[in-house]
Amino acid sequence: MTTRCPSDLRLEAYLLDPERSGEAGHVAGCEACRVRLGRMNAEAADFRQYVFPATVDAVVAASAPRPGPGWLGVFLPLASACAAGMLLFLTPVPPEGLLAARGEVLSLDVFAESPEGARQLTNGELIPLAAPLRFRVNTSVPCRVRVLAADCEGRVSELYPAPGEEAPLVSGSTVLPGDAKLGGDEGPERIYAICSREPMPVLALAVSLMDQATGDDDRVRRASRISGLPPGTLQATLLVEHGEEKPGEEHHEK
Amino acid sequence: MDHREAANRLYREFGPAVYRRCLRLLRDREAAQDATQEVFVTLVRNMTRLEERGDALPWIYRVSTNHCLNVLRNRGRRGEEALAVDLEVDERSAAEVLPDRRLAHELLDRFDASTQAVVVGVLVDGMERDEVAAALGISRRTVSRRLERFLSSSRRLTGKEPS
Repeated sequence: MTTRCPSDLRLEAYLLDPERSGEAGHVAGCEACRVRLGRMNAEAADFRQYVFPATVDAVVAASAPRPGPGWLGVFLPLASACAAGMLLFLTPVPPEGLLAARGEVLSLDVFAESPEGARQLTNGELIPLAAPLRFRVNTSVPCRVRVLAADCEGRVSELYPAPGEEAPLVSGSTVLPGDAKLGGDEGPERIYAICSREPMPVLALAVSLMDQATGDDDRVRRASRISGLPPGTLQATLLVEHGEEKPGEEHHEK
Repeated sequence: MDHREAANRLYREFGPAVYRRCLRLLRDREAAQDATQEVFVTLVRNMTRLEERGDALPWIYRVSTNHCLNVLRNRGRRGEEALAVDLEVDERSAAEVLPDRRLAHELLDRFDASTQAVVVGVLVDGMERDEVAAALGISRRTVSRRLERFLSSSRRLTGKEPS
């Protein structure tokens, strides 16, 4: 064969649907690809024989939809909302960095370090890519906080805590230790503080952000709230815009 | 179809693809089994995307890759095997880019998750840049830019130039 062999991803598509994959012609005439497919089929057999039986119950249980609040759960918040209706009309609309859930609030302040000292950023502010950022959250209830950022290219960055670390419990006004640099390119990037009662898998959060807050510039700018998070999860967000990148800067190294 | 039945069917159908991806990156059967389970919980929670079969594979690839790279980074932090040790560089068309792939082995864990996913896609999986872009949900230009940054930084950091 003289044509380049398909990637593993294309061979996965071939295994799912040989005809529609567009790879059937190549595979038929390529010994190397048939060997790869043989290995992939053996791994699938291993999955079906050992992995699937050992894990399917846990997968189904962990992915099951949470039970709804029931009528009482719906009625009480509605009643509370009605009672609070006048108050809501009289209360100024909160800034984008302050989003309330059931009377509980979380705010996020972002500070950019500069030679002149730390400066609090406003929503939509233009900042240089390499600027070290620090974060302060203020929460009305103790919860476990993560700070992440999403940009228009589908990139989600863990800003706090460091990747792999458990989200720490915070309460009241807390300056988060350490600083972080955003890794996006030119254009908008959204910083989210997510605070939950129970530890939340960062992968699930990243997927939610990827789905809802990335894709193009406008989606990033509009995604001021992430839906589908567990009940009681507080969130706050701030939009920043990255200025023109200076030649020779490296932003993707840790 | 209730949740159990639907999740069971999707896990049976797409589980092998996730498991193979995790085996490829983690190169450890038990770790791949754990990772497959964790990835699939996330996938099944977004079940409707799995049911749109046209989009499912690139998404599975993206979620699995990101998760397994994260597992590898955490291993490195705990002083276990470093990320580079676990990655098996794709040997197809190796003659053209082998020096860069060696740099990839040595230096990948110095870079952020998104750049790692690009580098793994192009240099380890041997994917075309268009394919990596589609799988990761980013533009081809971004793939090229991140790869070039990675390679130039790698060369600078090691003092090596590709032959």
